[in-house]
Amino acid sequence: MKLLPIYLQRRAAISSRRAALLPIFAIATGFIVGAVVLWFSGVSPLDAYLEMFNASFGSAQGLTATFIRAAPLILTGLAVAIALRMQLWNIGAEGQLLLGSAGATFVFFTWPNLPGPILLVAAAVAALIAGALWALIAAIPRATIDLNEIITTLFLNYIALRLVSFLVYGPWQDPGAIGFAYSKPIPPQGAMGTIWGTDLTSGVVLSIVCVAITWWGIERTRWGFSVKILGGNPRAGAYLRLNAKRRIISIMAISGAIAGMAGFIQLTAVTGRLQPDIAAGYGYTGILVAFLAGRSLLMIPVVGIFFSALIQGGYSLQAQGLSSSISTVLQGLIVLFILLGGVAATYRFRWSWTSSNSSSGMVNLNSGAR
Amino acid sequence: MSSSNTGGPEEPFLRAAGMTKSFGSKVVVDDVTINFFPGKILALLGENGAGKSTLISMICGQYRPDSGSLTVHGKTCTFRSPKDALKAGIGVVYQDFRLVPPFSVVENVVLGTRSRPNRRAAARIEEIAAELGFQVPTHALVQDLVVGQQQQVEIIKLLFRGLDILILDEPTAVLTPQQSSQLFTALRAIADSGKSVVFVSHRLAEVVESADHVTVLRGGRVVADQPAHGLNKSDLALLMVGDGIATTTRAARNRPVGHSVLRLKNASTAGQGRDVLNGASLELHAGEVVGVAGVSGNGQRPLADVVAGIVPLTSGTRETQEERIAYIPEDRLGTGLVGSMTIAQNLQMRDYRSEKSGNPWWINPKTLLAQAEPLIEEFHIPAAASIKVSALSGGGQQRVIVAREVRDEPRILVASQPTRGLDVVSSTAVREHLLDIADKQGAVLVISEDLDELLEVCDRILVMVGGEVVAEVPRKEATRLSLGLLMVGSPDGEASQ
Repeated sequence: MKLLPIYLQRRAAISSRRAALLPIFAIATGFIVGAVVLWFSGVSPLDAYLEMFNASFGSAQGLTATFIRAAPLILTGLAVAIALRMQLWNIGAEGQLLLGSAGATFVFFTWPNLPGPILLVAAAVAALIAGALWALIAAIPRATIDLNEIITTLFLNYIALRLVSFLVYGPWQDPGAIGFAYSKPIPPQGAMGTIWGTDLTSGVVLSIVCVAITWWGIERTRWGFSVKILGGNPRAGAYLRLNAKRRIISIMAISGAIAGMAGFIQLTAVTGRLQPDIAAGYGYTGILVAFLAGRSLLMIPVVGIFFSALIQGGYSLQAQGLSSSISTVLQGLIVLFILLGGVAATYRFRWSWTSSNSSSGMVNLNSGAR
Repeated sequence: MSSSNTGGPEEPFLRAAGMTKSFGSKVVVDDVTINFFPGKILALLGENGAGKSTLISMICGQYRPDSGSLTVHGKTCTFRSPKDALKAGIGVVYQDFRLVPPFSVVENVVLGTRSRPNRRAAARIEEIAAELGFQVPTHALVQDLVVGQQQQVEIIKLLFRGLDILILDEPTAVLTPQQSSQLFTALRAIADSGKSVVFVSHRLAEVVESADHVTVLRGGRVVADQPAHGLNKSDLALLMVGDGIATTTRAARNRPVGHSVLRLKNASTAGQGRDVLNGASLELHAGEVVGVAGVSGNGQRPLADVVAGIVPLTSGTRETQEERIAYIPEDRLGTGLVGSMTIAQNLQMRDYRSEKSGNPWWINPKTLLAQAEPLIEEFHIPAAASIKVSALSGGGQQRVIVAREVRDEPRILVASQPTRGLDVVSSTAVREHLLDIADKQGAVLVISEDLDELLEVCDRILVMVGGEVVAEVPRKEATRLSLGLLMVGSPDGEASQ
């Protein structure tokens, strides 16, 4: 009994052109469906999208805000993407970011009188180490007893949040604002500088440098070569007698360090104090960034800036009495269409009432098979 | 049953005539005609790759034949899916059962029928089970049953649907001898109730003992189709493997056989089922090619892994001084290569860590491509170095692996199914490389399902059954027949008892 005259035929492989078009298709479809949502909210979709564009790219102020917000997104996206190279899911960039900012704060409060450059470098190193150590709490059980890293990294986020809350309300609390959810301010020489007299902090440059270094590490070193083998085919890794455990630990430590770096940038360029909402969900949005960038590390800055603009544009809609959650809706839609498009791209659609050619892996939509 | 105009009582339930199926340019089933009679047990016999599974798949609607016709109960049928075959009364018990483990027996049996898993269904199941002497607790979960019971559930599933043609794909592969004899008792009872039973096998003893009629396939063609009565095991083995003379295309080389390079003693590996090592012993010498024959799934894969040194032993010993052990694994893209990486990268996967790669830390993509060029030329890899390995054909992929494993003249080379799926030219090239390694005083272990290949390249041939090396035959004394008999567990080439 057939309901629809549609047959799906599995393709042998997805062409690289199709794979490259997928994000563009997903973004376009996401905006179209988002327009319907806006329409039902009683807003002209065109006006709303124009407003979002103006608020994110259309003015010097908007552009500055977009780039400042892009820095942590690029880094958390990179953290997730690098772990994915070994088929590891780091859902814990949020917690690693928090620990990174706590590590940097520790340096600022312990040696407040160091000169600016030395203090900044020391704080950055502390952020890298703290993020890496936090990731290792999940990586070591994964490497030794195969404990699922998705669960452990996720739960460590909540522990990290409690830990930072403790620090903020406890040892590092601001004596001038007892009961508020932030620490004392970091020393003034610890604030990150801006670029060429603009209001744009160096965070975005730093994050793009991190992407470049990581790309180089994967593509140009022996270590990266072994990561690609183990990530591309774990059984080939075992066959070539590569040590997967050591690679799991090193890749997760690097992933955590990168997320910790995002914490350093947030602290020195944005908040100026340690506070529990310093991560602001960037760790989770980073998963979407990595996902949309696909297999290409070099696409991450582009996608990071795009997501940042989306969030920035969403806030501007609040001025029109709309909920800023439209940007979250758009993010969700785009990821959804990436997933759908990824499945659709592996099939060839055929329209026919008869299954005359059903011999070679045809799937009837109506039978619900696969 | 709808038509009985000819033939009287001997009218077959099912007649498949002129069945032909090709995959690519390879004809897997070639003009096969076969009849399933009511009340009879038919054994379908053949080596791996003889076309048994493909033939069954066409009869049960999984594949569509390129040509040929199916007649069921006198009516010509075209099956578009296994569902159509079920409607026509044909059911299959596959080797890997199609059961839902967390469902109960009753739920599994009624799944896909209009019945509900109620008391009536349970009563009917118990009735069927009692007739066959099966002991299946109807409300137990399938995941809690042992393998033999799960198979019984599969058989009950088919009878519950009232099907009258039952096909079992290597049903005894997973059973103990006691379970097997219980199974054949049940199959006889099913046949006696007027149904048609077909089983696929390469165990000669059970075919001789249990079948009424035997159809033997070889190379996709029917080579024998006769009553089982009066056949003995050596007749069948000969029919199965053919009487082709062991063709030695290459004159036996006068290689001096050197010292022992690897010794395996009573080696066993962890795991379940039959495909583990269970006290296997062997010795490899420099300059010799040793073959391993056996019905697939008798421990050949773990043997290769163990000799290559990538799987640990649970008991026994492996002694070797050699460091340079190369391994051409059975599963090319699954084990030997990384499909998402380029030919150049795959060629370098063993050596990128060693001094040869030039630089202790960095990898220069240009150097990688340059290093690949001479190998691509020497081993006739049919694509540029920057192409991803997943884009290559099976033969091309095998050339990449062979190039990587053979280039450094390994002291020990393990080659598992080295020419499976390759065309004649590629196969010959691969065999030449194996012989070259032996000429250079390396030890070569070849594991193959192709007896002709073993007879062609090996100096001596080991036979594996149940995870053990049960026999060793020098090439000069080996024939397809003697190896075939040893493989199916009939020692010393003994004829039927």
